[in-house]
Amino acid sequence: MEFIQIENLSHVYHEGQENEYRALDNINLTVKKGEFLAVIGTNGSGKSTLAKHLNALLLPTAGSCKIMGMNTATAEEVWKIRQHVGMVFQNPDNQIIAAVVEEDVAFGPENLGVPAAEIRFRVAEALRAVSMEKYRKFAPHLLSGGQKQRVAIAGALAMQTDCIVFDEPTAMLDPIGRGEVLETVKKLHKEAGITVVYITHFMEEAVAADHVVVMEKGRIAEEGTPIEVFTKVEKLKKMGLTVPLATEVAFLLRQKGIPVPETVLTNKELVVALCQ
Amino acid sequence: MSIEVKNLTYTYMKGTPFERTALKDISLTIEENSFTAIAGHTGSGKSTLVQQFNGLLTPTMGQIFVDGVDILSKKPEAKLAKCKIGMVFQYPEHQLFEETIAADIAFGPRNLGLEEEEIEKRVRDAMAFVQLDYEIYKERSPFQLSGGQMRRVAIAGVIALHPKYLILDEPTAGLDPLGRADLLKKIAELHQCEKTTVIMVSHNMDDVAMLAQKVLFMNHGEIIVNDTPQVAFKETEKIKQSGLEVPQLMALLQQLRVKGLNVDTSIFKLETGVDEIIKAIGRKRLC
Repeated sequence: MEFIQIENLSHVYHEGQENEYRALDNINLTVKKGEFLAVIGTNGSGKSTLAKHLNALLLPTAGSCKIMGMNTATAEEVWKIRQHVGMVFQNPDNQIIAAVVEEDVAFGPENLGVPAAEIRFRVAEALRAVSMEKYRKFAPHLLSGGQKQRVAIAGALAMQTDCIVFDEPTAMLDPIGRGEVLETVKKLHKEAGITVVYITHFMEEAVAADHVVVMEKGRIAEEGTPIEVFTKVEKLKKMGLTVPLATEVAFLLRQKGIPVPETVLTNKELVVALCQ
Repeated sequence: MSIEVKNLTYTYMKGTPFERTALKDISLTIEENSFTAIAGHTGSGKSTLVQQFNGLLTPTMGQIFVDGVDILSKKPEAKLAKCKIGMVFQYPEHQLFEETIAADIAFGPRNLGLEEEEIEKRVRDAMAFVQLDYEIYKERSPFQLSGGQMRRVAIAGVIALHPKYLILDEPTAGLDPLGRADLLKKIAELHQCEKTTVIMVSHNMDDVAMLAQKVLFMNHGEIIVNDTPQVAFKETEKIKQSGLEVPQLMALLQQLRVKGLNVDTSIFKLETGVDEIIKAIGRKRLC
């Protein structure tokens, strides 16, 4: 059984009305347990709509979305699904609700009725996992963007979730904050085996994934390992996307007759290729 | 004419236990027709600084002159001077509120007391500017748009005011690469064709390097660098201190240089960078 199994999923907003809009069109996608999937695509291509199906914030208007075999359309399963799949959104200010960091992280398990001692343990563990234990007594509004985003991630971890869906978690952050969040995500994926679905406009971040899905107009336009996807430089550019800078430089160098391998995705790889 | 800031200090929640000095003794001149980028990590004071320019925040100490007028005075000129400044906030889409896109964009111009005909013209022009078709979108609700489109409507609402000084706070955050490139092109056009003075707050050093004539790096409420991008991005230590990074291309060129490829590292344009790498490889072969 796959962790996430999406079959022929379509989502139409305002169905039957004048402003009907097909945001997702017959999507088929599977995500294995422990996988790191990156989703890229232009604004309005359906990335966020897709993400919201993964914990039943939205339900398919056709087709199905199953999490660990549980159908998101089955009302009795929704709460179970939401414990397995956590969400982290673009703007941390929109999802931090408490006045103290540790209370914010404890909010989810408290609502589940988890015993107090267990909550304390989970909160400490979650804050340690995102390297924020020093800040447990802080007021969230005094933290930097990257720190707030890590608190939001800890909130998901305290639910003992198996999977976290990130919807452009670094869009509002400064370079240091972006680095902190991406490192945290990589670590959770590697060390805790968390299944990650990561939506981003930063192609350099998508390179860290095992698998990349490219969305266009509600469909999956391209799918594969980062190397398979990002070597299609011209196709991605036509879609209004970019590739990592190193890949683009390598592509332009090849066009001008400099032999650089097609598999270059990072600066490091390009430096090795050019400076042997 | 210019925006002139003299010895500005700003303290949040003065006299409370939460007192915090966000800006420390800042002096700065932003010349008319210039393009200035302000960069710094979260909490460095960037947004606090630009909100002083149109009187949204009032300095704890210091003075601000817009085209020679002291905007902190109570005189009627001060109000007019503040109207010369247009501000696009972070997440401008949160400012949308009207039922239709056209009405939302018309809100500002209508408040200026313009004639209906002029208002419609400004709405049309502003929508054309952000590439939203007037006939298709004018009657639609702004809340049924994608994030990128909402951003454009919000920016159109500010453009329609024809501000002489345009301040944009992180205008490209959350936009896809094409949307980002389009918007930046438009901002550059405003600067070059309409002679709008642009002040852009940004974390994105690639955008900053491509567009700005002057770059300000802020750290702990102080301006630690104020120079052209060519000079500013050579201040590696200060860039690190400010929690920033050099533009991506520059970082790549620096890495190549460390590994023995003799490239010029102060290049911001991709094509020029690629040519420089090819030249450097050529030079290396000759040796």
